[in-house]
Amino acid sequence: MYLRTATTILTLAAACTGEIGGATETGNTPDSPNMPMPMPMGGTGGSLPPDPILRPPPASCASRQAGPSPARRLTNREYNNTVKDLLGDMSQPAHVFEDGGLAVGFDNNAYLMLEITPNLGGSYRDAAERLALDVATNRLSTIVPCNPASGETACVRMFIQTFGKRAFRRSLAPAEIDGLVNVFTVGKTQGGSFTDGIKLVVEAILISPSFLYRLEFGTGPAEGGLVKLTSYEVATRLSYLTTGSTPDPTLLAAADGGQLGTSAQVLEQAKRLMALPAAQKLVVDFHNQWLKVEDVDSVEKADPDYAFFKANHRTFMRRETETFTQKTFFEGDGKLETLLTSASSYVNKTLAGYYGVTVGVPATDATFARVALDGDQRSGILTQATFLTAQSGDHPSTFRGKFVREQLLCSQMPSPNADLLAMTPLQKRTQTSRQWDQTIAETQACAGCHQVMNYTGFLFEHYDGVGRWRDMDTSSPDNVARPVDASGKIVGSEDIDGPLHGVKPLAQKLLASKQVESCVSKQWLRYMIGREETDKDACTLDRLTDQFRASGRDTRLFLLEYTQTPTFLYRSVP
Amino acid sequence: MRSIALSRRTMLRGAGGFAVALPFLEIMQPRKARAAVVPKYFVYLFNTNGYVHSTWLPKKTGPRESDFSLAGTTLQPIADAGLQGDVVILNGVENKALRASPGAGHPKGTGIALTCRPLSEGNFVGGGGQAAGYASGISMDQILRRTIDTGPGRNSLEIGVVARRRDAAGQVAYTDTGTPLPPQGDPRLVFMRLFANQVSDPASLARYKATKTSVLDFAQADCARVKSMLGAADREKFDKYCQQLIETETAVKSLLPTQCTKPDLGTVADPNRIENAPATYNLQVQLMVLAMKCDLVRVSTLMFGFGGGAGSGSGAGMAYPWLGFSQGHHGMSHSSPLLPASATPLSAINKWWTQALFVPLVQRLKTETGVDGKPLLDNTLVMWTNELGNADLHRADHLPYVLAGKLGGRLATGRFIDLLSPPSTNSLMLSVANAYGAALTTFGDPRFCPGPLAGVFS
Repeated sequence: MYLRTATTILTLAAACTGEIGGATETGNTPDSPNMPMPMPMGGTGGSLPPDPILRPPPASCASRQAGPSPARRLTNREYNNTVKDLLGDMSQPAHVFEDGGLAVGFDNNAYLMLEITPNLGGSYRDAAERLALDVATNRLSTIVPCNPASGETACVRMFIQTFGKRAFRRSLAPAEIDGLVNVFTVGKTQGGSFTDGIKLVVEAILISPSFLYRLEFGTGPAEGGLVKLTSYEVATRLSYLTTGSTPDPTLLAAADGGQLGTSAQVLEQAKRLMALPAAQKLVVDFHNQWLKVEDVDSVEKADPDYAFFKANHRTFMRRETETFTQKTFFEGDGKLETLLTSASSYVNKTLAGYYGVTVGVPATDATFARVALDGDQRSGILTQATFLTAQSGDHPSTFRGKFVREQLLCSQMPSPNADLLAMTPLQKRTQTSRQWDQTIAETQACAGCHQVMNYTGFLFEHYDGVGRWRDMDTSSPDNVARPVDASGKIVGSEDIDGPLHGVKPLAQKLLASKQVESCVSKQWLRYMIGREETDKDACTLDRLTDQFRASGRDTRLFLLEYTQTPTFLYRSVP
Repeated sequence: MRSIALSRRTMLRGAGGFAVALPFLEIMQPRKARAAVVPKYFVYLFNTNGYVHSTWLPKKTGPRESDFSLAGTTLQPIADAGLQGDVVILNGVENKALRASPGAGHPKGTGIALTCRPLSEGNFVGGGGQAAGYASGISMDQILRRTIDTGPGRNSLEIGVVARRRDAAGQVAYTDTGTPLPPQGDPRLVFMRLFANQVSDPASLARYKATKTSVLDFAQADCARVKSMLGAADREKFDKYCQQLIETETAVKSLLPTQCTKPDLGTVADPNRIENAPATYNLQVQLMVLAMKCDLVRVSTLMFGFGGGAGSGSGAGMAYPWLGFSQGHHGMSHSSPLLPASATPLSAINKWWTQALFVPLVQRLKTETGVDGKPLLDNTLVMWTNELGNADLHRADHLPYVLAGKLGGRLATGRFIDLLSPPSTNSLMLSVANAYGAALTTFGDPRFCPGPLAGVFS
């Protein structure tokens, strides 16, 4: 059990450890390489997440339980981060690797990623050869900690031990060291130089499962189906959890020194890591996946009404939402209320036009600034152009409603079969999109799902297909403008059923819902554990939800609280 | 633009330090020696989002199969290029497994294209909300690989041009149920896979083998250690990579000096960007044909673009901006494609496929010679088709099949075959397998496979 410590921000300086490659700009996700996130602008200055609040354990924690701990292959994002930190390689080689699949909404599902296909295996081997050659040729001294001129044999062993430990995230066994010494010898013999030997060792390490997978075996006897993790395994979990990358030297040193044995020590390290720039990228990545931000990348608008919508507007929208979630978490209060109701956001010149903002607007599209939006019209991510544009298409009510139901209420909307899809209401559109979606929702075979989705989606009728406010609806094929009707209702929820009008009341309902509270906790948990939760994760999930509620729904506590739970601290023995 | 620091120089040095193919004695040309039995090749070219049948259909000009005209159709570039005598056009084939399959139209059409079985159940959700998994069963290209690709170190080639969907619409090739072979979309990585270990000078080759073996040995030892510690649930899937390492080492050890000339890729435009798709395609085809020329690859599948929309919210996906269309192809395919107003742009895309994808591929195979000194096309079957027929309705009847190549004399070309009682794709695929010498009696879902399709191959 950890103690509620006074607000300790004593580990900020650790952001400047001797990490190879150093830190890059904040929040620049791999898919928007041309749009580096701005560093802090406005706001109250960087703030660290508060400490978790000491709470009595939920009933589900009476016996210690945790869900399964499958072997985890590095995601492509983790691979890129890892080779950056390990080798100083900034090329993001995994950009061209095969993608994994999505499961329960996230791209890091351990089970889907377990197998390495022939193409991916080939990519790993090709990348290893290239990365090894590059680091040996250009940055040898950053990975070799000694001078071979004063004793090559000893230097090679020292290199293998230090580099091998960082790459495998654990100490190497004597047989592994000998094996890599052999690889070095072959490389040097065949290539002719010390560098050739080092290159081959790096290549061998980069294609080994101990590098490509995060493997855990635990230590000590099993109790109730759980074993403790080794300190290196704790360090690895912690590092990939908070920074999406391999443990930094400080964390490895803590593992070496047995300084990760208590939950308080784990919490201290977690707080240190959360202050690193990499943590900001990870938090943005969670929000991007949870809020389906990438969907906006592929939106096209064929309708002549949207002729002004250009491909780069998608990038602008995405950057707005990424900046908003990043700053809410790291510079704001991190509250769900802020995410769902904020009347300010970050816009450039073009997006200011979408929102009808004129005050404080940047002169160009290259700059984003925090501006106040119309408080009657705007309500956090629910009214940002990203969501409203991405979840739109021919059936905006369905897609927007589905998003609310699935992402915020964690309902599962089953898929229609071919017979349902062939039905007339889905095929023929004669009126406004609202009328069309109303017809579908009233069609008996579709009603079960479409009343749940469409009636929620109707609350967003005041926003057109790219998120602009509208009072008249021109979506009908006859081009007649009709007054917007944004009345709808929530049906089939656990605690917020009833009629509503517009998005702002919806946001208030969502904030009053225990179902939402539990769903947001669940979404964070799924992302953090990289698999679907099981019954055995009940204690962990309850602790997250409890902490979320007790803190006034502060989303910043999920990562820290999770490091204190049995699912994080133990490995379940298969 | 995304840049990947892969200079050609790096790649060539990575291949063992030798960029120049050295001359060597006839006796050291084992690939030619092995070619005593002339190898056969299979190339599968795949387009998406369906096509316009009315503007594609050849016109019959007489009673014989050779009496047909392509004038005014979207296939006309074949005739313009003087290749009408090299092709066989099939009208009427239906992939009947589509009607029995779960999932959305595009994942279905793609996943069943070469497997001819309904998709497996699963959790990928398609544009209309229907869920399905990957394809079920083995795909025909992989059957052919097992039939004709017997040499060590050779593998099938799965390449794509902006074909990066994650679900069943992401690939056509499968070794088995749920084990997809997604296409490699980056010509630089295709280059490395095919040519990085092609070393011509015996001393360099010996060095290459020694270093690669050493690296692979270490990784295999790591694999064995990890495997012994994993639970049964993880072990089987994990072991696939261990097997790959063993197979790769076997392949490396059996490498022989080659006289393959490595291509010069030049500057590679970002292959992830749709607007670079034509350039990417040309590079991919160049690499594939060169690999066939050197007999490094005998079975290739090539996907151009991907079907359906990419987001859950609205239809987007593959686009053809270089033809002047600002709109995505998928959206166009659903804009009442039977009306003249939409049929014209859709047909323009179909015609562009013929002119910019199919014709250059066939021409290249006709120009380049294989290990037997004859045009590659003589020993090759090119099969060109689409995931769907009418894409607006997501139907798989009247799929556009265009074949090219003589397949070692098994295919008489210069024919238009109008199949009046539409056969299933299963039957067509079975006849293809038999033409390559695979002793199959059924293929795909047996419900749709009454037997091989007669009258195409001899």
